Amino acid sequence: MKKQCYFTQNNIKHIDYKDVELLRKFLNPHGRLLSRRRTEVSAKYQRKLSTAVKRARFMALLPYVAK
Amino acid sequence: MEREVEDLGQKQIYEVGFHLNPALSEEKLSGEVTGLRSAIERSGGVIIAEEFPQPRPLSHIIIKAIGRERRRFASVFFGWMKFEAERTAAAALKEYLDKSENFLRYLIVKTVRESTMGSHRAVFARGRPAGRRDESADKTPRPKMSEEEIDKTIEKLVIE
Repeated sequence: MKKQCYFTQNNIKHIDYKDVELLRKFLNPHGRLLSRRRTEVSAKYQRKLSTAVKRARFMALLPYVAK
Repeated sequence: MEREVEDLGQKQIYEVGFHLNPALSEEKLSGEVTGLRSAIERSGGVIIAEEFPQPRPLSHIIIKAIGRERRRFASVFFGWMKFEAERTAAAALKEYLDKSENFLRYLIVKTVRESTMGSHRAVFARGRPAGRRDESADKTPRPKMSEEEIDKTIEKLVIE
């Protein structure tokens, strides 16, 4: 089955670091970013996602480590 | 070289997100926001959108040296401003924020004019949350059958 990117599907072009609710969907319970194999996000958006998560962590909106 | 000079003159959309000291009174809080707004406008920026600082708990403790003391904060006032300015304006804004003691932490990023927060959040086409495998599918109850019943059904299938 063809992989489908969440961001392409929902026409999201810019991933905001403040959108913590969205970012949390792509983190595991320890607060680590899920791999592309699990998220099925395209390489382009996985890079953007990674940047947004790192920004959110710096601003203490997301944890660096959890549990 | 010419291109570099041209780029510097061009305008860019920036967003500054900031944490303000949670001990600030409402008056001082709005004073800090007004100060930041005027700092942006002084460097030729035009504010596009903003959110007034709201109290917010943090995911981890942040430390800020205020005077001689290293102070720890577990909650802050978090706000942001989106503005259009020339590329040199970001450096001026950074200088202003570095000087202020009430801005505990800030982040200046390049962004787009359109709102990036929102009510998007359609669901996945396959009907499961983003990034998570569908684990509920395996948990569906299966009919319990004795060995005899299983043998009978196999025989039926073979005959067919």
